[in-house]
Amino acid sequence: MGYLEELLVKEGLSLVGKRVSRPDALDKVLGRPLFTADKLTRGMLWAKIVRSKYPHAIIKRIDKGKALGVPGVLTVLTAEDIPGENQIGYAIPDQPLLAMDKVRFVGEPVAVVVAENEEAAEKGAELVEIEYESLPAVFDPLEALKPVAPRIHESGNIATTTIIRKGDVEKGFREADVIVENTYKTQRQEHAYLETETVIAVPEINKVTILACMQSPWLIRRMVAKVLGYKQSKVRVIELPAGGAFGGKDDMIPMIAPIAALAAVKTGKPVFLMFKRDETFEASNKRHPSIIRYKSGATKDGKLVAVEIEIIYETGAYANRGPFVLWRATAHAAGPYEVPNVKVDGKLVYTNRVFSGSFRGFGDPQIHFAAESQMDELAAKLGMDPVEFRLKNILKPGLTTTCGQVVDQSVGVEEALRKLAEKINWEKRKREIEEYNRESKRKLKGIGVACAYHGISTSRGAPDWSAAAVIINEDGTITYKGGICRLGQGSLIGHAKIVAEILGVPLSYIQIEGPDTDAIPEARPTHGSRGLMTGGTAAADAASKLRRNIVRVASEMLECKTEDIEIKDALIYVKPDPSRNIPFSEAAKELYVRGYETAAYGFYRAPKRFFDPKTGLGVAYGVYVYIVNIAEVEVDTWTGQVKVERVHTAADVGKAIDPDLIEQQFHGAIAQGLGLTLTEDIVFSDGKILNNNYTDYVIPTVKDRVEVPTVVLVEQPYKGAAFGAKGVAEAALIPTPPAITNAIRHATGIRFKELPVTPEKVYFALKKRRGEKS
Amino acid sequence: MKLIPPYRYLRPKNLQEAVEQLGRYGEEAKILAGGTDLIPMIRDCLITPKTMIDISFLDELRYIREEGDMIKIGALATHSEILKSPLINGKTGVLAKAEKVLGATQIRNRGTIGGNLCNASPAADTAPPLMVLNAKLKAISVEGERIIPIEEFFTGPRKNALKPNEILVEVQVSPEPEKSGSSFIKLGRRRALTLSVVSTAALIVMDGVKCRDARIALGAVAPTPVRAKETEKLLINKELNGEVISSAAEKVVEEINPITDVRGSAEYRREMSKVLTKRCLLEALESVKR
Repeated sequence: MGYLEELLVKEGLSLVGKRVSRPDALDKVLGRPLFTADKLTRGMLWAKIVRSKYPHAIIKRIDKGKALGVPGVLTVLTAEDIPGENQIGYAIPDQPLLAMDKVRFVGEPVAVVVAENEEAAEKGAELVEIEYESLPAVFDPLEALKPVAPRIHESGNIATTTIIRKGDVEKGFREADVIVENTYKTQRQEHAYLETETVIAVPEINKVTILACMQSPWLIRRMVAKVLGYKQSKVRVIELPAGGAFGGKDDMIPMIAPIAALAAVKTGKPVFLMFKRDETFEASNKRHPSIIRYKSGATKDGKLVAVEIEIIYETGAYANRGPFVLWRATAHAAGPYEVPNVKVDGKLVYTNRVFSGSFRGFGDPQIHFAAESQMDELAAKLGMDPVEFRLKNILKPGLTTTCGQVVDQSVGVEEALRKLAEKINWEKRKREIEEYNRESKRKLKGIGVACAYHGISTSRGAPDWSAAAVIINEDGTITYKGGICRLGQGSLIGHAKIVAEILGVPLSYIQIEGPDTDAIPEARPTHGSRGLMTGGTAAADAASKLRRNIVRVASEMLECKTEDIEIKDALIYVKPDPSRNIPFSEAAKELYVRGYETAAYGFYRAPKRFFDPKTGLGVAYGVYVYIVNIAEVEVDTWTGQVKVERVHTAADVGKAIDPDLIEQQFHGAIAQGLGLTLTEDIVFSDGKILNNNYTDYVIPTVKDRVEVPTVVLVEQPYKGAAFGAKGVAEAALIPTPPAITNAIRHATGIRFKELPVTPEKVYFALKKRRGEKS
Repeated sequence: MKLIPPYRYLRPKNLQEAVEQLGRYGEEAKILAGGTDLIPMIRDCLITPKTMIDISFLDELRYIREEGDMIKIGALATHSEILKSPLINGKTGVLAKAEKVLGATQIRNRGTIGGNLCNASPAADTAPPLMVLNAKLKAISVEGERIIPIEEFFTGPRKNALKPNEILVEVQVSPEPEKSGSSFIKLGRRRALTLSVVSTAALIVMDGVKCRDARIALGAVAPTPVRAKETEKLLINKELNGEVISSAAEKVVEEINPITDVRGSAEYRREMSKVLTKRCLLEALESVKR
């Protein structure tokens, strides 16, 4: 039996599955953790990025003279100073580190001023003279698709396309008794992390070290090496805890660490680079705005027969992760249901606005907003209850996804939906609300459901693996070196629980260390809800290897068979006779004395995934996390304000390593989904962002927090991961917008197809309908 | 992000010294009280004062007290102090109601009533309640002191009636009359830390079923906070009921001049002015102590 099978059936778990207070919680509340900006020390230089003021323009000339004249300014760097490749495009090589011939959005980096202090860097940045020749710009993806549109890239304004051809949609729609067709639109969302993007680069002889908040240490290493023309071993990346990341730092730090590294190598001094809040708003990636045309057909007995979907995702000036985001949306386009006939066409479109990129949900919130709105409209047309209609079509083991993948295990979405509907008494609650609305004049209540699924880890069948290491110290303490970044989500705490469980020691024995590219092999990024699952499985591999050595040395010390050794609470004993025992620390010391290996590396490799580029069909993801949200809202018909009173949630998490950590993710994801649904929107005028601050970019405050009174955790284990656990970090955000808009539909009878659903939109929609009625 | 030009920082030891300093640097100086509006404006280079006179340490301007038939609030009284004051809650409830939804705890702990008024934002949350309370504002300068009725204080967006050498030192209000009721409603984009899209304060004085006096003020719907006097006339000497209030509230759109910005459209603001005026009057009527 391999170690994964052993863990799946392991009994008497002491940590895994239990609620354990986060060891870092109190420190965080007290403000003790040191973030990247706290590592700023005297003698570090300041780098300031000089950014384009034009949405689309040719760079005619750059004059560094005046900036170099500012006392304290040491150098001004531009594209021509880059020793390696001036290229940081992720999926497509379309994005320079520093703009060379032209700029494509307001905020694009053109030059970098490096100075002895912040004031000199700022002053220098103001004085770098850049002469532009303005070009016609395009700000709307539909405009960008027109043949007459200004060309943003030489290849045209379509970065990439995706397709799915499953079954025969024409035949499917002929079989349909009801057809619903709508166009949905979603907006740009900002990550809004407390900590802005921050990087420190320290030069050494022929080497450079990066310290930063991040999500992808090894990608940063590759990018820095590429830009400097270094070998990867000459770049060391050390991860520091992040003050929020949500996908933003997955894309951004690999784009700015090379800038700091370049400045450090050129000056021979450590360099500090930190975005101001307005820079984060203007020049960091955003959630892709979308336009989705969605046609669905069902038979009168409630079976989905066909969906035909056109997806346009606006990637802004550069493709960045867009091809992966669009691909993910395409692969999930029908929602967590079996639909025999599927046709999807996706386009990733360039515009002259800040580039889009990774953001919690990674393309799935937009497509699920459309898919789950459609489900309710179909149910309404069929006169069916939304839960009942979903259950008739929901994915079950043996059925196929949007892209024809047969899901075989850990498919607990039916169980999640049934249990949640039962637990909150869906039918009764719905009736109560409808009764309330018959009496109520001003306020209307509504309840709405939405389901979602989200493939864990990377998209497009990219190879996927992870790594970790454990060291047993002479006193029996364990140093755990994780490959997954600390974004606040607590993945490494989950890993540490797994390591402690396997080794039989309390959690306090484990010293958790974040990623360092010089300490462990590549572990791949912290994204795609993969941190706990892939990193945790690598941790389990390492711990299992180390355990074998501990068991061997203990069996020698206790003079018994290795099979008879048990370890619990840091006590090693002989199972048939527990009175024969030694403390864990003694065995640790003996490992060194007797020359056993006292450290182990662990690895995880994902099952192979593939897809046929002609049809889009294949195995898109190793496993999916499934989630169901039910939202209850109250609409003030006088003002159009929507109050989300509560969101109930249920998910198939495979195995809950820690229910607390999961619930924390649900709370955060629902809050972020609330902002996406009701208030958040980046507003532009001529390519420039008007609301580059928290006064006018409206994220929910603690007073807007949604109550999450019901959480149902379904545990259908995934056999490919340690203890059967899957990732949940993104899940609860995905069905939040449609659950809320479905509830608003239930309350008012009005379908909102564009996010955000502001009070203004609700008010005028209600007013219009009153006008139509009278 | 631009560099903030260097400025002269002065910290007067007492009000007298502050007045003298302002007399000297008037045109080029800004008064720093709580800083919740001033510092962000300086950071964003919307203003570049050459001199900053920090009066935040002048405890002599931090008080809330009753003198005769007047409640006097020192300009440096913070929003939190006003919110917690039994005097304010007991006698000028409309102001307390506004303070409760102003900013968030941290802002209320630092921000002062004087600063909120002098900043002269059309959306200033303390302005509509003070307008329905017919507040008087005391300003002093090297030339002496004067009283400015609040209605004359706001002269445009971010503009007030103070002369460059004048400093606002006190807000004076009469308690809400007997047999009166009041309310304040703020429509923001979230439940805390939000600028008003529309705000409304109302105060009505009843004589039996008849309305003896009505005062309505609105924020964020014109270049300054405004009194809706024509609307008030439709209520005074009328028997108040839902119908009278609803039809009067329709009038309010004629007294405002809202703009469209990222916070809301002019059209929505007009609609909400009616809705909030109606709600506010209904709540005020409801709260009349009989």
